[in-house]
Amino acid sequence: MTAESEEVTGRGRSADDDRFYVAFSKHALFQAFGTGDESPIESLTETFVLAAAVGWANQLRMPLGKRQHVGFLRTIDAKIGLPLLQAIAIAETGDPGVVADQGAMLTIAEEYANGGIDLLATLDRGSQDRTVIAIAGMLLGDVPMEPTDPTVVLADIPVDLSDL
Amino acid sequence: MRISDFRQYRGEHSLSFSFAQDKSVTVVTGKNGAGKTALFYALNWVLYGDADLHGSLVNKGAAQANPLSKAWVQLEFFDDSYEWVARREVQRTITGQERETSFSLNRLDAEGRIRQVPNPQEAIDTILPADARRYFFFDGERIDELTRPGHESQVREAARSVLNLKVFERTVEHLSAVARDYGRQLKAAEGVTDEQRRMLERTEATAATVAENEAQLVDVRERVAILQGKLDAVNQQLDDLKEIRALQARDQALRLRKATLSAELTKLRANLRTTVSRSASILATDAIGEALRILEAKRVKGEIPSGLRQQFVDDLLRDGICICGRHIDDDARMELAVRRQSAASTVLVDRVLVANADMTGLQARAESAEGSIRTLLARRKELDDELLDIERESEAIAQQRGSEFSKDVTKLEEERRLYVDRQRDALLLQGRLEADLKRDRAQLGLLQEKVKKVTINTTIGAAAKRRYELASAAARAAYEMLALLNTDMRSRIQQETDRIFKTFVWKDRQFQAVSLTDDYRLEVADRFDADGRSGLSAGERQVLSLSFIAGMSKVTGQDAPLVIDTPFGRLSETPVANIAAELPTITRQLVLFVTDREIDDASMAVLSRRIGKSYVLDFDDETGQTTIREVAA
Repeated sequence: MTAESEEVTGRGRSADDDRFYVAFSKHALFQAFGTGDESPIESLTETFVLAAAVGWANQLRMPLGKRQHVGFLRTIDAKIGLPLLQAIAIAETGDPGVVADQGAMLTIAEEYANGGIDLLATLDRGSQDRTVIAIAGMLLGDVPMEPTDPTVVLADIPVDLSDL
Repeated sequence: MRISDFRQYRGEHSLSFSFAQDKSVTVVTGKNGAGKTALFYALNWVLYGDADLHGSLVNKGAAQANPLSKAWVQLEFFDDSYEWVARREVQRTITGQERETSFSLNRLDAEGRIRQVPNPQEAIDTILPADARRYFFFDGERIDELTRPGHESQVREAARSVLNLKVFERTVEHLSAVARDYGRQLKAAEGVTDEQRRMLERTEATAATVAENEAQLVDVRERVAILQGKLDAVNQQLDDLKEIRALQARDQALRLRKATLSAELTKLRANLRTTVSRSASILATDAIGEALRILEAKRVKGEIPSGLRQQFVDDLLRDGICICGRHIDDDARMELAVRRQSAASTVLVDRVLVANADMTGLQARAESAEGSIRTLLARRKELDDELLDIERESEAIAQQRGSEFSKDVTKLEEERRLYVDRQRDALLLQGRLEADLKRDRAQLGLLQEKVKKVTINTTIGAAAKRRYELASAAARAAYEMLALLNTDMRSRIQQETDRIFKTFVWKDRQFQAVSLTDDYRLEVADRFDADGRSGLSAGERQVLSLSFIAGMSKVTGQDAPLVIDTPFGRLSETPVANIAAELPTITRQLVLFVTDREIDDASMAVLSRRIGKSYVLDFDDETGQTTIREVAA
């Protein structure tokens, strides 16, 4: 992965562009969630997809500004992650043709991920186990159980967005 | 009682004990370390000379001011219509040791004459024997030892002391010795024939055997009781071990279960992580739905050919023949190809078609993922709960087992077998001695009857015979009286102890009866008719001991006051209230040394109806001295 920091504003993006990026300032967040054996999400790519879904669900689309390359489209799961990003792109644009424009599709995904990662960050509970449970709670949209470990705190949905 | 420079009491202090009939209780209250025990032991010391206190008796302040200072205690008391004054004094020597310098006992008789008693300690022992006084003046927190298993000899000694059985025993011994002595004199008297002499010798020998066997029987009974105590202790340890073993087995099972659950939990955590990582679609089901709707709308409009239509056109172009059968010429071919391309590029169509299929699949996955996550979380909770329960139970087991589980069961069982064997031998011996004694006493009786019928023709001989007969009859009568007294007193003490114990305790339904066996074992039958004594708490044993002492006091009519240091220390409210209500009725005079927190308000309210005098001990932290202050009763 090469470090790349550049402003996207004003630059076009080719339809064949299969690199995906995250905001430079939030790169550490993505890494914290998706890198290593102790991270709550198994890979950075899945973190990206999850953050995009979170951003979509909360309608938080934020341009990246200075960006950091983190992966390639081909590394996204073809049966799970990719169709999800495609669905978001189609729903966003209303145009099925967007699936042929990787650059456009990825831009949409990146900007939703940029908004979604901030919400994901609020679910960090300090340990892998507790954070996974918090994310599970968020996915289910409820508090699935009373924590038996008093230090386990489940996701508190909805999240206060007033400071974003 | 007056004291001077005794322990933390600098200077002279005094307190008087109430003995009015309806106000017979004196209470002395003080915080821990204020000097209650010092006063308690001052009472013991002035009468018996042993204070059972560590450290010096002379007040340290007084000793500093004067290295040769003295401490004294003076006690005025009534007994047998006389007024007595006992005074004991101790002085420091130049080397800092303490030496008793005087002990005096004066008696004031009804005419007002003061007479100094020549043997003060003997006189005190007559009034209240030294070995009996610990059952009238006692430390409430240690009195429970009296009724702990293995302390039967203490109970027996207590009864013998308080009932003055020792006096009777000595009387029997003495009269028996006198009879033997007279028997020897008779043997040697003038006018006794050889045959008569032989009969007398046999009588003497039999009497000696009886005396010897009696002494031996006392020892053997004691040994049986001691061995029983040891057996009880070992059995208790073995019982505890059985319990501990069961606890260990349970602990082992819990560990295995914990390991299994922990392994499952580890797998579940990994599974949950994977599932959560791949379940982003749950959040975007509306996007998926919307995208599929858009795609479907486009397809319906013909903007995205279906794969089948596309394939149909491809087949026609390949075959070159239309479905109507006409040959597809180049113009027609070009037209078809344009129509095919006009909808979408091949790449786009491919992608859209694939995306369509994948998105449809994703919708189903989202639902399934949600179900999986719920299942995993529910199972996670079950595992957490069960692991927590295991943790709690393991902790409870660890506490119950304590730190000492390494007792050797085999060793304990060997010990037990040894005690059982020894006790069996002792019991056999006891049985044999009892049988021999019965036979020998009967034999002795017969011989003594024969001796009675003997006619001795000399005056000296006849007189010697008469003396011998009288002494033998007296010894026999004393022995029978002692046996009767023993049985009667024991039965009455048992009754009183049982009655008082049930009045005191708070689990009166748990306990059926208190009994005092022939060898002075105090037994408490619980409602399952088992010996509940080993299951008694320290507080309950304290109450049982108190009941026994109170029972003895009642039966013997012993006039000695009950003086108790920390009577209620280990007891909860109910027995305290019961004891506060009942104890003043059992004894003529009651003196209690209590801490400020030992007795609750309700119990104090009950007791206060009988309090004639009340004192508070004020300890000054700066000077280290205590003063006695009388307060309203």
